[in-house]
Amino acid sequence: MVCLVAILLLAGCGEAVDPGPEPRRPPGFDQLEPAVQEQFVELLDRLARARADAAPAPEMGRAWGELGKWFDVYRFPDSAMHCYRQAARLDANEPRWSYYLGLLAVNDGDLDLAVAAFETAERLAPESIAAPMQLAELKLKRGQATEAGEHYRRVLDTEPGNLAASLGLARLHLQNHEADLALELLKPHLGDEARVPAELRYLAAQAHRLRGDAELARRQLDLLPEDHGDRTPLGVQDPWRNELMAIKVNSNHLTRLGIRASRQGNFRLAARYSGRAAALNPDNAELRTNYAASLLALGRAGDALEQVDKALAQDPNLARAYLVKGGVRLRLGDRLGAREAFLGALALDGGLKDARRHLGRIYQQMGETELAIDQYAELRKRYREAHQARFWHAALLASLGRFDQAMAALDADLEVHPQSPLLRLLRVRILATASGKSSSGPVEAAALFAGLAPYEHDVYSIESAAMVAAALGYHADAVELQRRAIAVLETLPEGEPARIARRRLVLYSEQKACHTPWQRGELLITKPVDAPIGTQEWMESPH
Amino acid sequence: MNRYLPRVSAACLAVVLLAGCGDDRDADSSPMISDARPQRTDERARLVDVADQVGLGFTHDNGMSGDLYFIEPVGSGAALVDFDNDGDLDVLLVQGQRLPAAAPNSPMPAEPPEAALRSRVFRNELVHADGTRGELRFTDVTESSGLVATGYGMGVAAGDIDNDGRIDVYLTNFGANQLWRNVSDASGIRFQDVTERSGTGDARWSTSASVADLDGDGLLDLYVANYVNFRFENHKTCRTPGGRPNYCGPQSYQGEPDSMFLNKGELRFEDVSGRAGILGSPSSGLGVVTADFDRDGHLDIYVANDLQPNFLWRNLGADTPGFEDVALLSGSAVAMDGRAQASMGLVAGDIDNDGDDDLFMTHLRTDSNTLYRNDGSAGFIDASFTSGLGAPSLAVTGFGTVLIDLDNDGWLDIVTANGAVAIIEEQARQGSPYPLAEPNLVFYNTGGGDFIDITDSAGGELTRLEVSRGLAVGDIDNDGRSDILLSNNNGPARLLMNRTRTDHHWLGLRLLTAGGTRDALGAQATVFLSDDRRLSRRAATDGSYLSASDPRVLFGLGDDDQPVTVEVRWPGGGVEQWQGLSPGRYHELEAGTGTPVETATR
Repeated sequence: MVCLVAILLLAGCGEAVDPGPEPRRPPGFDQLEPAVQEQFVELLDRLARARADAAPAPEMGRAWGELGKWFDVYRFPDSAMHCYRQAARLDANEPRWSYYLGLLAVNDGDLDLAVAAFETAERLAPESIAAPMQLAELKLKRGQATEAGEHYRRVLDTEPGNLAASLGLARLHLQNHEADLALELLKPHLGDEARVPAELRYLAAQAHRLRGDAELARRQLDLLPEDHGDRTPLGVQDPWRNELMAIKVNSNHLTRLGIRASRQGNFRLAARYSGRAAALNPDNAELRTNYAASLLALGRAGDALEQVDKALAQDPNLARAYLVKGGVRLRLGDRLGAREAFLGALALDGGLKDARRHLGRIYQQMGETELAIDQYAELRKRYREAHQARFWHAALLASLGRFDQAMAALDADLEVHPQSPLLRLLRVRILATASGKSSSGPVEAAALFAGLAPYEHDVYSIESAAMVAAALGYHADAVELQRRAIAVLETLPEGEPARIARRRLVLYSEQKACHTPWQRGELLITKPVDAPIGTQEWMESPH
Repeated sequence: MNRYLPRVSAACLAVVLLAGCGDDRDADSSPMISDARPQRTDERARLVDVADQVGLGFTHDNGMSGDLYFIEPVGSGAALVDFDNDGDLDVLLVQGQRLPAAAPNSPMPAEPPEAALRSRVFRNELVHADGTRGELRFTDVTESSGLVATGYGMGVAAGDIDNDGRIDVYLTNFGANQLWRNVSDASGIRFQDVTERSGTGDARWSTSASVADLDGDGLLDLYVANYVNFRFENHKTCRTPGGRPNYCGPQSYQGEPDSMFLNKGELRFEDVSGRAGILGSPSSGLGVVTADFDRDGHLDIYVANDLQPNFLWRNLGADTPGFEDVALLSGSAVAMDGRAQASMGLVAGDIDNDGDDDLFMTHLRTDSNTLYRNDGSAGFIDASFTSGLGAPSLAVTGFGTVLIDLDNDGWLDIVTANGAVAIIEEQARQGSPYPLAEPNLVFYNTGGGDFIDITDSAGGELTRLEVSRGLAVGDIDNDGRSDILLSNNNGPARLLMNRTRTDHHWLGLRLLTAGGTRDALGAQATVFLSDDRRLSRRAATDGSYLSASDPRVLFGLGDDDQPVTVEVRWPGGGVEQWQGLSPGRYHELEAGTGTPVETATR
């Protein structure tokens, strides 16, 4: 009887809705972040309610679709595709479900399914350029250049000047070695120098190269930002995808946003993202450490200290937390506290380059030159590219009068970094000042210095030049050069470099030469001087 | 000939080879290997795994401890090289090692030497000492070889670094690398550790390496790709977007600059990374290949970097090598959309038979593999999608890759070894302890560098779900068809014999330096066919991923069964020609014994 009533009711309400199979939990659900789990439970509840209420098909479809988005953004593509299929079936007028299904099908290598899905999305939303753009990219991937071109042109018909479509067409032309046609498409977008996306510049460079104009190609490439390879291609940016990504509450995502904000110098936004990530996962010491680092960058050292101490209470083995704590202590002027923190970081991870660099600097400031040398020696051993550490290693050895050791280290370092002006100038200084055993030292120093032309116009270079001039007996030149260095050093907040420079000036004024190429407490100042060093007599014919 | 072993003479070798691969192409060349499955009518190639049948028992152990250390899914490689100079290819398979559990400061667990995992050497028994042909069979000679490679192994590079006629090996590790001098003699395969003496024991995480004469002094040098600064102390727990533990990617660590070691003779090398100009470019190198891309007579170096722009180090040709990275300008640093790809393995070869070396490299799932076509002067165009190689690779993560003319039609086909680096949902749901398995791919070159995916018809072993990494190519049974050695991460090695049935003809070459001292790695041979086609192939052991391949050159000649003319461009200069070389056998060509050609033919 009950069945009969149910049948009659259903008959009266139109066609019964097949709600689809029961959704499944993802594998490893318990290992997901709490906020992500909660999000899933809410979406699952929503679908369960729709099923229990025998909701209309579109509503049920939307519930499936929202659940699909969750699976999608947290990388459960198989489940996401399953959900989107249900959503597209039940909420048949909504283009996004087919669109999202198409994106996943591309990643899954099922290009036939992808084409069908994008075509459905295009039919449902003819005014949107998202689906035709994806179809164009897809046809390009399948080697169907003509069809790809048609889709790109359709996008341009809807949205004249669309950059992504123009770039897509340009790529097609380049593949066909039609560099002129590609450039024709690219040129209108190359106008505003500051805003030109890296992808556009790269394509323009390739077009110039294919036309045989390497110089113009190089010019475009020289303007590429350092991290040009990391950029997301323009072709995949679209509002539907942005909507999909917007549901992410996971810490990875927030952390990435925080890092991006930090790189852009927006430390307030960085702290907001990293703080949200930490709040959503209060037991995660790494996220708390990120938050502390953001607060430190923002100048809120006290708050940063509170966060990093909490992080260390949660995970006493987190080396990076000690590194951040060292930075906080330094900001607070607590050099000893900073030293302890950096030592703690290195005890846990001897490869933390920044901790070792800071520690070397702290030891230098504390007058613990031997300990500083140890740190720089370790950096020198571990990181071949660390030419600053190599410089300080040799400079501090020289400051202790261990010239032979300093020269031996420098010789080895110059094998690794033969073009490093830092290292080459230090060698010049040692030859000019500390080669009591060899009278040819200053002459050799002058020749080496001359080989450095064109010279860097900075304090370090000009003081080095003064040392060589004085060593060769050109005291007037030395005085003049040293005065120019002092003029810059006196503008700096640090007093010690200027004091050292003035002592050297006194020596040169007294017709004497320096005997110490580097002094304890001396800083490496590469601030530009007022005018070029210029060629001097002692450089050309030293005697 | 500076040889230490009684070698199989060229004539005798030819007899041996012809016996195994004459006109009776339907008969299998080895009684041990049978494949009763009838050939499908649409089958263009067939590869059959015979590892178990021929005694090549090796299972890679990545040492996974549950902590998802970054090194676990990366290794390891394999080599197909004739170590004992008996005329057949032997095998070296690189092994992983047990890893510490959980404690961030734990060293690698100390194992008693006999219990430690180690890379293994297998001798091929195909050719007997008297030159007669036996059956394909491998014997594990690791213990007697003296090769004690118990580090966490990554890759292997091969080349005769001391010009004594025996191919030496350089093993890259997560940890100090090792250089093993081949001191094989009549009693068998032997190695001697010369790492310390050579100064090549780079302690960083090295991956692929290339052995090539970079400065043209007649001694083989070393280029070593280094990855990132991961150590157990700085191990990070990376997570999926949802927060589940997952393997890290290269962005989680700092990239390392590569290394270049110049061979100074007497088994001593000099690290010239700084002087050569490569030290200032830390990145995340996984694959390396050397070839003269701009055909200026100097070997250039191409490095596949993981999620960083790739390098094309153009050799400036000075006495002390100086190199300039021209990848970006050349169009081979990043994909056509300007994005750096996660490049893993790579090969260089003349895919479109236009006389220059093109580049093909493998990438992450959701990204496509990339084919850069060379315009003859090291200018490249991204032809991934127009060639048909792009779309089928979207669903897999590629690592090792080789160029192989499967049916000897004169067009190079491509095989890629695949296996994910991030957890695959469905496999995790099914409870797989290592849910990264993917099928491999076989692409058939239909001519002109246009490819179709023939994986399904090429042999069941390739569609088996495994976490594949290394691939080496070589003619293991000397039948004129190139075979493949496949290494799996945390799985068994596969020996994929080429059982393609074809009437096409072939020509094998071993290109040797003057006096027949060693393989002239980098030499480019061109065969002139009767239909005016020219095929160019390079003698090399490098390329692919963490692996070393047969330095011999094998040409598929298609229907051309007439004696052919061969021109060889030797590394360091000089072009010579040989005429009337008979198909269906291997020939040894020594520099200085051909007819000099005044103007190089391109």
